[in-house]
Amino acid sequence: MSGRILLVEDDADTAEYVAKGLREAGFTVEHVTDGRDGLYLASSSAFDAVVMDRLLPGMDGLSVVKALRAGGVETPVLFLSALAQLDERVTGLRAGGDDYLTKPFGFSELHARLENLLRRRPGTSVETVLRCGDLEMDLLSRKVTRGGKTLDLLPREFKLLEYFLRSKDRVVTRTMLLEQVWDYRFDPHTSIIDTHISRLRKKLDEGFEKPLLHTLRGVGYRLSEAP
Amino acid sequence: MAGRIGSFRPQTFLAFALALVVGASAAALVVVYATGSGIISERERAEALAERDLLDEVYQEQGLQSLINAVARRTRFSASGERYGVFGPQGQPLAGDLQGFNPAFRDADWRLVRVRRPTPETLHVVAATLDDGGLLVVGRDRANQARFERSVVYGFIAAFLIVAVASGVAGLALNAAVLQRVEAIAATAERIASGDLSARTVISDPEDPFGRIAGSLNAMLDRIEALMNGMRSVTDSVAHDLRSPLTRMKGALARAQHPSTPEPERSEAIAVAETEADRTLATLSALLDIARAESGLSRDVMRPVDLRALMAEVADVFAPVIEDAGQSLTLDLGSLPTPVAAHEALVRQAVGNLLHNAAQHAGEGAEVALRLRDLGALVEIEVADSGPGVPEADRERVQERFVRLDAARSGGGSGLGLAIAAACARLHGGALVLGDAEPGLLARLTLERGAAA
Repeated sequence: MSGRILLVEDDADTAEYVAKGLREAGFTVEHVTDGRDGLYLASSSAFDAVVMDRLLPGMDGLSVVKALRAGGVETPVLFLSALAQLDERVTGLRAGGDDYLTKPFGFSELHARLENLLRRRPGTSVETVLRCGDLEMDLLSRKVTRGGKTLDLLPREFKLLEYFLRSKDRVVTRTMLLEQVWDYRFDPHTSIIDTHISRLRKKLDEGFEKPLLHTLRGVGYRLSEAP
Repeated sequence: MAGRIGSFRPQTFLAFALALVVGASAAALVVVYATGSGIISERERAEALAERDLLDEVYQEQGLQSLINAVARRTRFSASGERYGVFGPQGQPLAGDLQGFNPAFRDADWRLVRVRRPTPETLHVVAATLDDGGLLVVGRDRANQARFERSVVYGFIAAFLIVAVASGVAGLALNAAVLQRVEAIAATAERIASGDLSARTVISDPEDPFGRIAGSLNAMLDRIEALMNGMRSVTDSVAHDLRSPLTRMKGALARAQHPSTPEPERSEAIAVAETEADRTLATLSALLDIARAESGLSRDVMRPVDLRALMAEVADVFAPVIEDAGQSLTLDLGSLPTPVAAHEALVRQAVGNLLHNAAQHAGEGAEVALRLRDLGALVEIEVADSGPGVPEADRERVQERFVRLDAARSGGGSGLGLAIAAACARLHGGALVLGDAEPGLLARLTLERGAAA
């Protein structure tokens, strides 16, 4: 995966951790520590995504994103913040952020979310059929088939599978599923996600030779033809 | 922001009262004096004129000698203050106690004239010219006038003293009463400032303004004290509750670090540490959500929400979990025509927690019901299960933070689920009430409909 990422983060340790990880993952990273510099760069140069801290010197992240959106800059923005409350997430997304990740976070989580954001780039045509190998989802007739065989999915399973298909070949973390599919605060005590996944997997992979829905231990899941 | 109130001191009030008393008395004095002295002067003039006319008649009918005799007689028997004089054409005195002629006597009609008799005095005089060019003069000294003036002045002084003393006493008493109450409130505030949060002002009369100030002060203090106590107990619980996962984390990391630990066990230990870290973070987030909801800060993000759709969604998320627990879920969402002003994320979390609780504690075979009811100003969300329920004595307690009834199942949850639901209800002006579903637990969450714009 490649792309140009603008990282606006004043904490040197976090910035180094994120920048190093992103570079190793093949991204080009531009790093600034000040909100104003971030606004200037993001509006004057083309980036594929912006990773933005909320609390910054110069100008806070929320204002930067509001200013960007007001100026017609549609670059996807991922907020990175120690403000972990439900309220703050709502505020961040309303200000024009595309995703909200709270500190502390694992790099795999950030990476997965960033790839998910890049995939949502404008220019993607409006698809009506989503595919992964022999799996096919028709969004108009709401029919799902695998190898020509119709899969009987509940609406919630359809929704979940649609999310996986749109993130085909990418890692999807448990928190991403909860937050983005159901807008529910991730609680590590609950087995909600495991339950949903095992049900979906049963309908999706049972009786087929090649599994499509893979579990990545400690990270999340991936829908992919490749093992 | 603090409203600006002009400074007020008792001295200002006293000075104002004094000025008022003096001013009012002086005005009264002027009016009484002007009117009174006018009346006296008018009466004396009428008497003097009548007397002059009488004497003039004596002169016309009986001649100069009779006039002289009459005047002499009157002079002899005159009451104090009456003066008479008869003068010849050259001003020579012929009778009466006015001996010195004064040209101002001529044609006088209640004219003020200074005479020497032999001591100087001021008289009001009326005169009549006699046929031979002589002059008959009738005068009144100013004794009555002076007496009147004196009594007015004494009256004024007496009145002033009475009013001054009375208003002084009244003012001081009023001041003392006001100051006493203000002092009482100030003393309470000072005790609070010095750290005694239990200080309260005694309210004598809740209707008067000071009673109301004291009342709102006390209410404010109750709120502050409740918040402080809440905070204290939360801090204690947080310290206690975060200690256990952190201890486990530390233990796991130590195991992972130890050189003799074999590889599979090492990564297992790291996974354990990670889980514990996640758990700690989740607990902190939940606590912050509760704190924000309870302080009302979360009100900023309230928006009109379609509760029916929201409930259906939450049920959708939890249905598999409930089914896996061997339970069944039924929905009764009724019809809610208008959207409700709500904190969507928090309501979702709260209802999710209630469903999750049911899945965890109601046991296999239980029936779980999620109901939404429109009660007009209130909206009611119910989660009922047919499990063992919660003993009545514990129903209040389980809503507190970190309270778990089945202590044995320590990994079951953060102990914050019901606390979040309760905080969510309070944020929406409602309450979380736990009751008996006969059998099982009935959790009823009420939300105020609010002004959903």
